[in-house]
Amino acid sequence: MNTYEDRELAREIKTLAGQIPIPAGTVPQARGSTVARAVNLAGAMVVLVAAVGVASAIANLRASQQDGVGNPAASSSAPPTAPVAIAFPETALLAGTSDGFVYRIEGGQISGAPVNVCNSQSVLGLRLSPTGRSVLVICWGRNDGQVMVLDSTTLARRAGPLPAMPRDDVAAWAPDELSIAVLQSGSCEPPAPVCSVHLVLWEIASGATRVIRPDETLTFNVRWTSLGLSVSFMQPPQPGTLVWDGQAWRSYSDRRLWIADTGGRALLVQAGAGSIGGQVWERQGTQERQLSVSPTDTEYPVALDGDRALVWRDQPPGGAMVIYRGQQIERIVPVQGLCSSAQLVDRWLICGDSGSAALAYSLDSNQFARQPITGLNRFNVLIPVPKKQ
Amino acid sequence: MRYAALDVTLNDRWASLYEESRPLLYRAAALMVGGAEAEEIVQETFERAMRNPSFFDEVREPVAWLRTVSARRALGRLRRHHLWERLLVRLAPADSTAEVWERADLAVALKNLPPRERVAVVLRYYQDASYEEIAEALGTATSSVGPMLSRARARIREALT
Repeated sequence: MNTYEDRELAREIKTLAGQIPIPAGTVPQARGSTVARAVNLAGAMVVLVAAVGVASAIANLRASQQDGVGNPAASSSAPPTAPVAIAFPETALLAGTSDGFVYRIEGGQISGAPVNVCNSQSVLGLRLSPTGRSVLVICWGRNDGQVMVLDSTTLARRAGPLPAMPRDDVAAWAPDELSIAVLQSGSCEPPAPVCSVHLVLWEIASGATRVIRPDETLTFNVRWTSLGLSVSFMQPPQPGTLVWDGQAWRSYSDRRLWIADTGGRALLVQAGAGSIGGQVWERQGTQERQLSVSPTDTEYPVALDGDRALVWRDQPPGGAMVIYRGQQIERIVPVQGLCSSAQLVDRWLICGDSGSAALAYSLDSNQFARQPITGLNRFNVLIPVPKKQ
Repeated sequence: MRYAALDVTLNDRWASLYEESRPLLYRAAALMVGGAEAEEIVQETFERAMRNPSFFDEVREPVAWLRTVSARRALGRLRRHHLWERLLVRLAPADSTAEVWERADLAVALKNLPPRERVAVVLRYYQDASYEEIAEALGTATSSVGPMLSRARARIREALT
């Protein structure tokens, strides 16, 4: 799924579908098959009836087990509610909501007045600057989104708005905090199959923009890691990731780069067109090896921690943090909630996905902590921010 | 005996495919046309597949095939419903016999989408179909799928707020 909104709608529809009871049924009688007609003999029918009977019995049993409990594809692996016993870390949070507001939260309470940053349109993304002084807000819009920079403590606007693609993965801070890479809408003239986009470098102080990749289609996944600025492309002839060193772009991988540490280790995703999560791969040097075990699992890289790779496995309506060490699964920690992206604070991963309570994963105790937020029923995105001095 | 053995294998494959795909097809059809007609869509789809004696040789991805055909059948029914709803005065509330799930806000929002958008949304967000598959099911260009889903999302969002 492309965007936060896509993923959220998919979850809601799958949850709704899980409530649909499935009546007992039998496979229809085959018609028109010459083989079937030729051997419509008693012996064959006995076997057919037996086969259908078994299938039907299994279907009925599954239907009766699944009524109202979830998507059949996921219900068998739906995670149980994990005990959440540890205390939530002491950090301030910023939450963005579907009606365009950004809230500051301290100790599970709303702190100060919320700010309608996105003019009542959804807040799609929040990106904390490298020093934590500023936060980049990505807003949804029917035709075009926009980005702007706020003071992370006062929520006062520092820069913007600047038009941007209405997606949650269209902008990334430069390490020096002086500029932000932003994907903007490009030419959109028929008969082009899809509108193109271009990547600009937005200088915060002056407000000037400079195009660093011209109009291209199916560009997404803007990240600024220790490897440099990177973008990914969805489809041939150029699927995968390009990295920019400030001067030139070079091909990095056929897969999508998500996370890289300073040692050159990285987590990548291989996914079908139109999907965000998929199969997670680990890269060391130029060697790439697959971590995700099952081709049917949808996983998202979350963090690298020493020789461990933390990956979120989506299992609607919840999921699990899967910890890989090498290519082995070290542990799986299920939770009711979402944590497909997270920000590290003092050995805690603060989960950034939508929800009604803040979630954090302890890298030391390998447990989730949960904190309800008084006065805020639901948020779209969540990030940790420095406390007020 | 050889034919019988072959046919047993064939029937096993149908039974296995039916068991594997029916829950997903049924629920998708229910989301598209409502619970009352979902089973008919599934049955019609399987009957059509089983008319082809070489189905398993010719169809590389049987579940995707079933998904596309059932979506087309659902779209056909929705278009007929749409026409009747425009021609006839409604005699009774449409949801008077609706199942519990059909009264959920999201189900109502889906039901109020135009037929093509409704089918596209279910294919995309419930069945994880690609844009290409959706285009094939709807008989439209791949390039029109994104804008169609975007419009549908906006309608759903409006309906739910």
